[in-house]
Amino acid sequence: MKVPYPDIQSDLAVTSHMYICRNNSHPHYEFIKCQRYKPYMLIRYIMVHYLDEDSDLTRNPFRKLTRIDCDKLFVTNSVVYSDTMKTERRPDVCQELYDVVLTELMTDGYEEIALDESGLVDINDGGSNEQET
Amino acid sequence: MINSNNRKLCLSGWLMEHGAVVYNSPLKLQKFLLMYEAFSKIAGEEADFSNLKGYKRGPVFSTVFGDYTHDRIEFDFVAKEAYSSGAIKINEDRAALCHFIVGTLSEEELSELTHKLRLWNSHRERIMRGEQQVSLCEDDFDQNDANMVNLLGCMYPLDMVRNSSIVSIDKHYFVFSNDDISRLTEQHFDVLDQLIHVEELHNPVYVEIDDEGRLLVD
Repeated sequence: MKVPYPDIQSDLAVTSHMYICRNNSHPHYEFIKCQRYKPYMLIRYIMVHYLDEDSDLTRNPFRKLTRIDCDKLFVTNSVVYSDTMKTERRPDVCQELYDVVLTELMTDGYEEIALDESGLVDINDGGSNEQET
Repeated sequence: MINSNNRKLCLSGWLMEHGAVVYNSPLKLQKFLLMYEAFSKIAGEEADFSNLKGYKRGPVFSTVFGDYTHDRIEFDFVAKEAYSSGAIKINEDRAALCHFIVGTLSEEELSELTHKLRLWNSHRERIMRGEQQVSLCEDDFDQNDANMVNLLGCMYPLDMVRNSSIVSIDKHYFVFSNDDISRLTEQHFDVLDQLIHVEELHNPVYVEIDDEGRLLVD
């Protein structure tokens, strides 16, 4: 899913990451961010709760070593997401991984972050506002 | 007179030829050499940790440092000769990986990274107190160090290393596919410049260009 930067025009640059959907009780959605593993994660312990997953189609759709950030939960309240936005390799993570992600998320709480909903709709082909569907 | 051994000269010569920008930074040359030896060790192959000392910015091969710092012209010449001679067989994939790692992190980040190694960290107090010539030995490189270096290697699949180009702007290292790099416009550079000032980015910053010419940043 592409997410706009607050201070950069979204037709110029956006961030692009996979997210695991925790709650899809329409129209309220909650997402957990998956990031490519990078060296700063070895240097600074910025995240408290996280899971590291290697590429493994029996468990996840990741193509590279990935860190699942369980300190934050990203939410939207009016965006409708098309199934075309799901990853093609596999559209989900396995139940075992999903359960561990939820456990990590719930341990010590998490920061809830509201995504820019109109921005999301503008830049993701499979996203639309609820009113438009 | 050059005191560095043939292995270090060959590796330095390899870097001079394949990564002149990295080679021209004394710190990055040292990190490249260290990474190559660390990956060699965890692969169960010959590794050379001789003349390794603890400096405040991380482990340093002192003979290479002395030669490079005090007799750069001769060091360049001898390193180039040593690499051309093929006297030491260099694992090209490993060297390319180490070049990529060192080429996509800032000097500060590389120092911090090598501070995490027990190889250096077990001597931290003496080194940071200012003690000179603290010897680091191969036995200090323990399983935790091996795990960390191995993890570092897992972050960079070889096909990505081989098919990527790096754009550096003020200590930020943007990685593009070789296909995308030829599509970069002046406006893209302006956007990257804007990004480094308004967003917290983590090296290496992976960027794709979508069909509409927009930068997708990871």
